Parts: sequence; C-alpha cells; structure tokens
Amino acid sequence: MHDSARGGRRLIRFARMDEPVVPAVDPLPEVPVEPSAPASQPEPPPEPSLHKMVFTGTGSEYFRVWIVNLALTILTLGVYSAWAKVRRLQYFYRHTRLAGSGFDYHGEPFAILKGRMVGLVLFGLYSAISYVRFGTAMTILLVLALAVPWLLSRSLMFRLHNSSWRGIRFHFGGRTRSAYWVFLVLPFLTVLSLFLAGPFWHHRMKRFQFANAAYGQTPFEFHTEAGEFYITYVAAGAAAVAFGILLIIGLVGITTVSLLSGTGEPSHGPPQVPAGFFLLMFAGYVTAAVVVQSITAARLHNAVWSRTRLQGHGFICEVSWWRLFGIQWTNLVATILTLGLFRPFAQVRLSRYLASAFALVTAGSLDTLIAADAAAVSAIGEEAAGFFDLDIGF
Amino acid sequence: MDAIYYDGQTARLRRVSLTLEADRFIVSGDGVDRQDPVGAVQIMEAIGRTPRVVRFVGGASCEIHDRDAFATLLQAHGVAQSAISVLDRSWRIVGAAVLFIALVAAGGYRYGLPAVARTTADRLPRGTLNSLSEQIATVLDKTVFQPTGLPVERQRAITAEFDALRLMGGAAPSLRVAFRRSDGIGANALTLPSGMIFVTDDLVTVLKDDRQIMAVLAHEAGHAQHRHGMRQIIQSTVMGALVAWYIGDVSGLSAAAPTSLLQAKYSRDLEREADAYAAQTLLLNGMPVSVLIDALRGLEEARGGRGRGGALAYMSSHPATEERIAWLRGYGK
Repeated sequence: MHDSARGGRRLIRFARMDEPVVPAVDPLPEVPVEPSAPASQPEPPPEPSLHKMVFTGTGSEYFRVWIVNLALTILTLGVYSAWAKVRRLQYFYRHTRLAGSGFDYHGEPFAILKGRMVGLVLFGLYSAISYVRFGTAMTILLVLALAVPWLLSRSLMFRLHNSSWRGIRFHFGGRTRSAYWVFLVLPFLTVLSLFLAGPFWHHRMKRFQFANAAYGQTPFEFHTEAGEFYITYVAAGAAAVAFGILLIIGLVGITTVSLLSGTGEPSHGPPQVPAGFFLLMFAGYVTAAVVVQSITAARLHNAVWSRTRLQGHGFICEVSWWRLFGIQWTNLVATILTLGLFRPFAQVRLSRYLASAFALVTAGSLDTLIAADAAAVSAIGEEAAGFFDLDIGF
Repeated sequence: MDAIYYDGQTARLRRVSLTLEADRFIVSGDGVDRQDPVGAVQIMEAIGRTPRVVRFVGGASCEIHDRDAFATLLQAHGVAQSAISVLDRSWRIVGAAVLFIALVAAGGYRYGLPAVARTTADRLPRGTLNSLSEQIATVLDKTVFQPTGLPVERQRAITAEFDALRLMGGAAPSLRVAFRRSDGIGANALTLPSGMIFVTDDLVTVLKDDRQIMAVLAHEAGHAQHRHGMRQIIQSTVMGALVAWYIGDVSGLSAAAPTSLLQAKYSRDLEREADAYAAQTLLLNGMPVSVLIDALRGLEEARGGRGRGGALAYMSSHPATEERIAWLRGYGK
C-alpha cells in the first residue's frame, strides 16, 4: 500500500494514498473549516488523481485461515460454513486496499446459514428432477424459474449492502420486476434467438448489476455498450476455434507417429490408442476452456469498469487476458497436483493480480460521498444463488 | 496508538489516536473526540494479518494496522480474544487440521460415501428405479444399441435357462433379459437399476457354452441385486459436486478427470461384488466357479486385448481380467 508512486503513465498525478486529495467542503458541522480557505474564493477545478488498488494478503497466511475454516466446517457437519464464509470474505475485503483504506464485510453468519438451508432445499428439488414424473419435474422447474430471479436480486442486495469501504456501505436498488426481465424473460428470448442475443443478455445482466448499485447515496453509472460484449464473444469464439484446429493437428500428428513407429506384430483387436493421446486431449480441452474464460473475463471486466462512473470519479481497469490466463492455468494445474492444497494460494494470486490491474481516478475529494439509510436485507438470496452457481459476478 | 477513523456518514479518512482507558475507548484527533464504553464497542476478531477493525454504535469504525500493539492493549485491559482467531496463528493446529481433513477425506471416500450410497439406493422406491431406467434405456437404444439379429428361438432358450436359474438373495427387482446388437460395445452385458439386463449379440455368439452365458447373467444379476446402478449414480453425483466445490472449478471441466479417476475404484469394487454374487449363484446351481473364469477368458480373447495391469489398472472401471480370475480361483476355498 506504499507503492502508489510507481509508473507515471497518463496525465494523472499520483496521489499519496494516505493524503486527502483536495481540500474539500465537509458536510459535517463538527469538522472545523480550514482557516486558510476563505469561503468567498471560488474552488479551483479539481485535479484528477489515481489511486491504485492493492491486495496485501499472502498465500501462506490465507492457507491457515482456509484450512481452519475447512476443518471446523467438517467438524460441525457444515454448520460452521456460514461463519467460515464471513471470515473468508472479511479476509479478502480487509486486505483489498484502495486510497489508503480497506474494504469490509458485514454479513451476519445466522442470515447466511438461513440462506444456505433454503439453498439446500432448492438444490434438492433441482436434483430430484431426473428422478420424478414429467409433470412433477415441470412443476419443480416452474417453481425454480419463478424463485431464482427474485433470489438473485436479493443476493445482489445482500452482498452490496454488507460490503463497505471507508465506513460507508454499498447499496443495491434493482427492482424485482427488472430482475424477472433480466433473469427470466431475456434468457428465454436468448434461446429463441439461437443464442445470437447471448452477448446482449450478458450486457443486460451487467447493466442490471452496475446501474442499480450505489456507494452510499451515490449511484454508479453504467456506460458500457452491448457492442463491447459482442466483440468479446467473437474474440473468445475465434480463440476457441483456433484452439480446436491446433488440437486436431496435434492429435493427428501424435496418432500418425505412434502408428508408424508401432511394431509390425499383428494384433487381433483394434489398434491401441496411446495414453498420451487422452492426456493431450484433456490438457488441450482444459487449456482452451481457460483461454476462452480468460479472454471473456478480462475483456468484459475492463470494458465494464473502465466506463463506470461514480459522481465524476472514474475507474481504470487493465486486466490482461494473457496474464489472467497464465495465472488461472497454473492455478488449476497446481491445485490438481496438490490435491487441492494449493487452492488458497491460487485465490490469493488471482486477487493480487486483479487488484493490481484496478485503479480509482478521483476528480476532487472523496469526502463528499455520503452514506445512505439502508434497510436490512435477508441473506436468503445470496446463499441460495451461490448453491445454484447462478452467480453473475466476476 | 495510531488508527484510521471513519465516521460512517462520509468517505472521509481521518488519522486519529486510539486509547483504552479504564473501560472506555477514546478516539481523538482530526476533529474527532469520542469516548465509548468497551461493552458498547464491537471489537472484530483478528483474521490473518488483516488490519484490526473496531465498530462503534451508529456506524463509525476504526481500522488499526499495528495488530500486535492492539492485541497487547486489549490483553492489558483484560478484553477477551476470539478463540478461532488464535487457531489459525498456530502452525501446530494448522498441521492437525491438514491431517484431520486428509483422514476425513480418505475415510469418506473408502467407507462413508459407499455406505451412504448403498443405504440410499436400498431405500429408493421401485417406481423411481423404473422411470429412471426407462430414460436410460431410451438413450441407449438411440445411441449404442441396434435391434438384435439373434433368432427368436435362441433368445427364448437363453431366457428360459436364466429363468430356471436359482438366484441368491431374493430382494431382486424384476430381472428381465433383453437382446441388442451393438457395434460400439462389442461382446458385453449391462444392467439397469430396474433389473433390465441387456445382452449383446456378440456376447451370445462369442461364448459357445450356455453355462458361460448364465455365469455372465448371474454377474449382471448381482449388479441388480445390490442396486449397483443406483449406487453408482449417487456416488458420482456426490463425488462430482464435492470435487467441483473443493477445486473451486471455473467451468466444471477440470473436475471431470479427478472425479472419473476416483470413480473407477468404486466401479471396480462393484464388479468384485458382482463376481462374488455370480460365483455363489454358480455354486448354488451346481456349476463350478471355473465357468465364470472361462467366460471372462472368452470375452477377453474376443476383445483381442492383452490383460491390462500395472498403472493402467487403477484407471480401469473393471479390474484386470487376470486379477479377477485369480480372485475367483481363491473364491470358495
């Protein structure tokens, strides 16, 4: 968190993170107005400054938090998982620092536990679909289709309401009607369009998520256009096709070589396929999936954040898909090879990189951003959605 | 000590000094001057090396970066620390946690999940097994199976012989034999949870001795008696979900390989159980266990494969034929 003076690109002055950027009028009466600033003099135009985000956690540190969480979750037959989640999020939030301050998480374990139980019931219903009569299965699907959009919007509400930075909570004000449009009607239309509307649907989900979010009373403004999503999907699709061609060439090569080099001994059955064939096929498949996922995630993350505004303040987000791919791929391989023990290190590596690619550009003081009155939001939504893996965040 | 103060109303950052006197937190500096009784302040537990957080009534909070000094301060004033935050600071406890998780994982894999799957499968109603099996049969008929080319008399003879077989147990679902041609799976037989046994034309032509066909059918009946199909479905569902959750998979792809490797052992265990059932059935019907051994040999030859063994055996869903034969030789002695 002391490295804000690194690199001077863009015409933006790097502020020291711990100093208030521009002296500003403070709305609170108990704070004395600076005597050197006469009220009659007009304010100078605010100078933009850049605040880089940093993640200060380390893998070995998080490993211990993670393993203790896991052991206690097993010991309590899963009940502790709600407390574990709070500790995990608080660990990641508090280590994520922006302009000298950490984020914080305020979720209540009991609310999360309640949500997990609802999620478990819904998951049970979902799993039962293949084992029941057609009519019953359709009823279950209908119930889920009606429940999920509501749960998703509640989940966004719960998550943002329980996140804070500098003592001010975020807020989500998406309306239930919009949630049904985005999570029920649009996916249906997307299927009807033979998935041509897929990127458009994704754009609407992001818009629902961002345009309804606020930091305290200050709303986020979402300006990214659907075209960006189409470009990203085309790029990812092209990468997938290129990978497929490379893989086929590789496989044909391997098979040819192994057949040619085989001994002349006649065998009764079909020719033996070399084990390397399957290994290469699997590795290629996974690599291609990670490439496509990295391109999509990096491009969309940048496209959305770089054009998001918060009362004149902006964001710079420069995630390189290539570096994201490197991190995700090595994380995956190391996690499998260590039977999962590398997972906490993997999560820290990813957080470090994503934070380092993110910056807040302030125009004027942040002190004018003020808190809102927040209503309590039930945790049911977030937990149930997590169970279904319908989470729309990146 | 130094702290950062947020009033909970604005995003303003204030550098303040935090002290604990008698039983009050005192925050002062940068326009802040507040005193709160310790009991009214929420001292958030330490998590790793994150800054300590103190939350006041009304939404204000303090962030403290000197964790050690803060801990000393709390200790000096007799304020209790959270027990769990102590756990992850001790490497010995972390080591014990790793060991515990490894033991639970190994035990759950070896004994827990198979037991749960068996209990669940045994309690599922017949109707569920039937409707599930109908779905599977439809898919199989569309993909790997073609209509049988065996003469009807031959089919009838085999079915009659199977019906006359005395079977072990008795909790059998309604066992039925059906014949299909398949280029994809060759000489083979498979059983659905409902007790429907599919036999391929190749298997009937490859095994010259009808007693060997009965031995294979007895093996399949063993799968049905022990509800192996259902158990496998349950095991693979649970295993897939656990592996995906544990790896924290992005796409569900990378979980597939470890899951299928882990599954293979279960599958081999079930094959052994079915072999044991077949051996018992043969003895019960006055046939030697060697009939099944001959059947396995015959099928192995038909596949033209050398007996698989070594490292690949672990990845195989059936134990290597030689291993099965050796096991069967030892059976009943």
